[in-house]
Amino acid sequence: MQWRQWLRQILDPSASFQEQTFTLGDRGQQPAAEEQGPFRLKDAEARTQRVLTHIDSILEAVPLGEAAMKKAGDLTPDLDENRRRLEALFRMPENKDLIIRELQVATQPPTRAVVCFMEGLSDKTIINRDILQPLMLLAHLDHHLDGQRESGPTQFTVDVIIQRLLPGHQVSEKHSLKEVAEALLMGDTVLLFEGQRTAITVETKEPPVRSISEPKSEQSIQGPHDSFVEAFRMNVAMIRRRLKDPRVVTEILTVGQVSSTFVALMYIDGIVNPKLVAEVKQRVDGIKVDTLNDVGVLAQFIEDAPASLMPGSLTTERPDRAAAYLAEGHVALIVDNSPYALIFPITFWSLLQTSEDYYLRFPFGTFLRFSRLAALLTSLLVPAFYIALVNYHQEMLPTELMLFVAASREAVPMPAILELVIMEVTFELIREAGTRIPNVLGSAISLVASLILGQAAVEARIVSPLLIVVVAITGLASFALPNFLDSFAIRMLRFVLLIAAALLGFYGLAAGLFILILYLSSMRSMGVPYLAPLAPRMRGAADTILQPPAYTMEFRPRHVRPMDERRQKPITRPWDPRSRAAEEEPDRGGRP
Amino acid sequence: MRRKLAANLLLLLMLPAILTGCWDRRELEELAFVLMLGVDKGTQDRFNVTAAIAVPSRMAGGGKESGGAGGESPYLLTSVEGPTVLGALSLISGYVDRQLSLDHTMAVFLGEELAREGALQAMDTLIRFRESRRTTILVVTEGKAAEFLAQIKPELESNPQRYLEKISANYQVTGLLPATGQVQNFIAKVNTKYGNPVTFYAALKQEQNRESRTDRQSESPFSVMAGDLPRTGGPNIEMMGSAAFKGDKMVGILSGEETRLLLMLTNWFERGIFSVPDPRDPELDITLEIRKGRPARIQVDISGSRPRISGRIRLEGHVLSMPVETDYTEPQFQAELESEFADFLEGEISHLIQKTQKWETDIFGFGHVAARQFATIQDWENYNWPKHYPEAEVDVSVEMTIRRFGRQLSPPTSFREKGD
Amino acid sequence: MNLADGHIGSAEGVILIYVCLAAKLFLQYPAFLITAGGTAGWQVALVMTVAALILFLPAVALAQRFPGQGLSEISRQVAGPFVGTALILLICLWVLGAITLTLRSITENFIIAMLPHTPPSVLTAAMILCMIYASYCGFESMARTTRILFPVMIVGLLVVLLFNLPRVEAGRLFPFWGNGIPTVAVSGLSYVGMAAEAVVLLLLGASFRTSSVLRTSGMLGILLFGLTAIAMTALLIGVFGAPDAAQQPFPVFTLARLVYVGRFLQRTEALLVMFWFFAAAVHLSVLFHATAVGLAGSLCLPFYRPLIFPLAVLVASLVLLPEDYMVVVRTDRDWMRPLGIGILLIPFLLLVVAAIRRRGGTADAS
Repeated sequence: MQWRQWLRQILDPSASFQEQTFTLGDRGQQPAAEEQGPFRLKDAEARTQRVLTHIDSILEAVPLGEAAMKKAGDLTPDLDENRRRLEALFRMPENKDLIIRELQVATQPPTRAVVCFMEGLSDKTIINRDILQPLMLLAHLDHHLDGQRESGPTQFTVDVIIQRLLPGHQVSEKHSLKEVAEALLMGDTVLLFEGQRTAITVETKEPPVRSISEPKSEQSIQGPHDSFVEAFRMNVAMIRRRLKDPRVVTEILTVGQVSSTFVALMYIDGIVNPKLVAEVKQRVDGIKVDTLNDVGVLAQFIEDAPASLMPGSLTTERPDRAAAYLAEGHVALIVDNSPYALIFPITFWSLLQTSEDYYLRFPFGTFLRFSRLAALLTSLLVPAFYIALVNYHQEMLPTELMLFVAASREAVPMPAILELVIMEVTFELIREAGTRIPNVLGSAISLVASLILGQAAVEARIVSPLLIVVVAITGLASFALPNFLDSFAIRMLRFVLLIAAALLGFYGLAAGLFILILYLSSMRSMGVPYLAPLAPRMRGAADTILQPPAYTMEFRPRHVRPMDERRQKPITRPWDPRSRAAEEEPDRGGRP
Repeated sequence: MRRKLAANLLLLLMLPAILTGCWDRRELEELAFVLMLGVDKGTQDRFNVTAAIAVPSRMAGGGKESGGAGGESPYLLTSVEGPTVLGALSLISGYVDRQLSLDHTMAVFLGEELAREGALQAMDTLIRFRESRRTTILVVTEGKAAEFLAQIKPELESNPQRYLEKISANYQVTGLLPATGQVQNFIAKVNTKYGNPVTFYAALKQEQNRESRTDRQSESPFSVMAGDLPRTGGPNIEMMGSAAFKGDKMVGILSGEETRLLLMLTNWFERGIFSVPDPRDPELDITLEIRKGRPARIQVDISGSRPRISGRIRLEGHVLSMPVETDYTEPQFQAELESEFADFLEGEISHLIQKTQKWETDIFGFGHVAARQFATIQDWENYNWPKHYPEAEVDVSVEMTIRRFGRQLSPPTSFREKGD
Repeated sequence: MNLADGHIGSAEGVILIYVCLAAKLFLQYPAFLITAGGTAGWQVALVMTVAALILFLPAVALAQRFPGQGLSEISRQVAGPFVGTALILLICLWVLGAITLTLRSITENFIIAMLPHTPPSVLTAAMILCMIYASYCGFESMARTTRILFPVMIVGLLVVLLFNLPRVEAGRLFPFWGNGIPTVAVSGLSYVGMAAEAVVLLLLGASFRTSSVLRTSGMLGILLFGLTAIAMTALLIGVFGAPDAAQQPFPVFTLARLVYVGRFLQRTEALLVMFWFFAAAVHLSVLFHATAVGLAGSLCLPFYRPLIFPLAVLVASLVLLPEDYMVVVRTDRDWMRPLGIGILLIPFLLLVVAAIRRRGGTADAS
């Protein structure tokens, strides 16, 4: 029958379905103002009602004193009215996520109550066993301490319920509908009672969460293999199990109108500089946005220079790394729903460091850091060097090599810079494709692509073989950098330096490098100079490119200005006679 | 808005820079690299410049096939005449499509005729022009440099400049070539009163035996000049010995042996092989590898009417072959051998120095030693060492100590019973 | 940014002044010394160092008398608004001249050595861009950058010096006294202007942590510079011989071209050029920044940033003024360096006046 419809469409000029296909409001229909009206009206109605109730409750509380006035909220004593307002707020009955269950609390006389919770976010076992059961079945079992049973009607207040009937570990009173809604959205259970202006919330959060697995981007061979997950409570817990100190503080801030994302600010009070904490808090509080999805967005809101190429904060998915930074006096921000922690302040040298370095012996750690430094310089400078050498400073190549390169380049019809740009772009494409391909095919395809493309390009005389080597080495070197965001920065800076070298040879490259280093040295991350502690040189400079032995790192690095500078006793190997011999030398820790 | 406009303008202004190829950017395939340069006296004009231009495809590929015997020459050879070296070279653009570059010029060959008239005419370019390097080696060729260049066909290497590079380091191995034959040394010494330069000397192998150009019947086989080597087989070119200059004019040729003595006197000598006739049986020869010992100490005494050059050269010897009857491992015979060799060398040295005195050129740098005795440059200039050098007395002594005898102690021939 | 930005410590200060002064050794200054002293050119350098150290002492005393203040404020306090400002303007004018000549020399040398066909204005523009950005970022950033680049520059210098040691013939350093002791002494004293750029330390006095930091930076910096000058001059004479070395406009470059170790460590001068560029950029940036700060201080401006761009345009136009390279060389030798002695004497003058008028704290405050 389909063809009949098609025929009709072609032959009958008036059978146009265009006007009947769905659009959101273009084609001359009236703009949203009219459609938004009813929504705003409904919101306004609900708000007015709540305000009126609020005024009533304040008036009621006036004779009871100031404390009672402060507690007055906008819940009515009428249970049904409260319930109706709650359902209106949550868009029920269309919204099926909110479950409201009526019950009767077995007090004398029985009280009507309502239990509300969000399906999927709350732990049903606790609701059944620790809320419904005691309220419905066990409320009549109230004994005095001396074993006598009280007779007569039970004095019913919310206080009694909390103190004697609800065996939940976190129970609190809420006075306004907004707080009730927030609690419900977090996964808590809310109890509303007939005749009470107060609601009770019981903590029953059990959001869906992934179990702890291996880190995806920061693997280590010899070191812990757990990584952060999306639930910030678990992340905080993973850090806390590594830092068992009462001074570890977790402040919880909420960001976002619609998402109300929790942001946990962790620091060690007594080590961290309070000015740093205050500044971070101030910046986070200043974020007025509707949703906060991820740590990266938070970083862009808070950082000193979000437009700069180099990141001003560190995102890590390893709790041991976060704990190590906290112990040095940094601040960690953990965003709910994001398996990363954000560390402030950070320096450029985090590019060269992973937590694994410290777990290895110091010669190996130093070797690893040097190789990363070499990788950094390689991925940044090699293409620029190639262009400068081949285009400007041919006298610098040894004669034989130069003749060989000239011979291989004679077959290629393009100028050197063009082939370099083509190969670099191809490499970036391959890299991006490798990330997007589904896992099972990913590595195989990238390998095949790079090998075959490279070989074929040489045979097709598009590029010369030396160039393939150059591009491959550069690409590999950029993978050796442990920090993902920084490798982005290096990739982009590589192009900048390439252009500088293509314009003026080594002179241009030197100018580009000079300006780059100037830029880095003038940048700050949460107030700390980006190249500290090497420039300005501070204590802790030994730990940037080299790695000192673990038992000599007695002081915390100074660039975060910790309150407590010493982290180890001078003699940490007291059984070793050699270290005791060093005890006679004066402690040289003084100079900043 | 204004900022955006300014940014766009800036970008636009920068674009032409990238597009026009920025003044100095040259692709490798736009350049013709001159690996060797030859300068002769010209017939039509002042200079006849020969350039050996590398052909990369032949050179690089030729490494895989059989060396230079593959037939095609790895470079393009052409000669042009002109009033100056660079002027002549720029005429090459009339028939070579690429831009000439002297970045990789390894060696500059000067024809002997030109060298005798004055080398600085051709060489000032090498100091001033940015592409030329001071590590280029200077070679004076017997005859025309153009003919010489045409004959450079090294068989062990695929490209000639590696051949030249290694040959110029040969002084460390045999000492038959000078150690200071680079442009740098030439410029440092030319036209100063402290000394005079030497350069490499090379010649084509002569077809027939012509009369040797040594002026002295010497027993040493190394006293042949380049071009007269008694040999067959191998490339046609021979590089041995050095050319001595007075100022920038060439005045004489030193044989390989004499060059070795020059190296000893200037402390550049590393080692070399000498064959010494057996003192007890001059028909047989002993082969010694002589190495430098402690540094030579030369003193120049200028008090008195004639300056007096004295000094001591200390050498060490390893015996490499000793097919003789006398057992020189015995101390008294060893001492005899040592002193015989020392005397021989002293004679050669004084002969060499007299030769240079005849040429009136102090190629050994004794001037530097003499200058130590003057307090200021003015005094030194007033003394005028080059005038006093030819009348100097020479008293250089040589000491040679034999250290080792190789893997055998007494020669097998000394086991013969007496009377066999 | 205001004038007193920065909190430079003594290590950074020493490195900064050392690099700033030593960058000039890559240009034709060793040739001047060797022309004056012959084979005793290094003695000229020695005399120059000692003289510079002595002449710098009054400047140090002046800085310690007025801790935490730059030369502009000091001279206004000591000599009154008109004379004081005039003195500072004089110094700034001289520094501008030094910048111009050095920039032109560097550009010419890079053109001669590396990029023969590039128009000088392009190279100058690149360098001026670096200077502008450096001054914009502030003195503290410049110090940090120098700190980071310092090992690189030292390696470059040492490679050139050490790998040319085999070429040195000690005999070339004789006759020992060169052109004679009187000539050596007089030329050494006349070339003390080579270290006159150290006066920028005073112009930037507000950026140092304490005045004793300033003292250490100045004295140690000049001392290190002097030692490097002596070593380099001696090496140049030893490698090239005095007559040849006196004719080198870019001696370190020629030395670098001679480096030939084994068969593979050769032809590295292009790489080393990068390191010299850093030194030159630091030198020019420090002088430029000092001019901006000094001018701002003497004109009573609280910020120096507005002056950066006009000064850059000024420098850019002045750089193209000399017609050819020899004019630059001669002007530098015959005018700038003698004037430099006068510049070095200005702090001495101010100190005397300050003592007479009893301005400032006591001289031993630190």
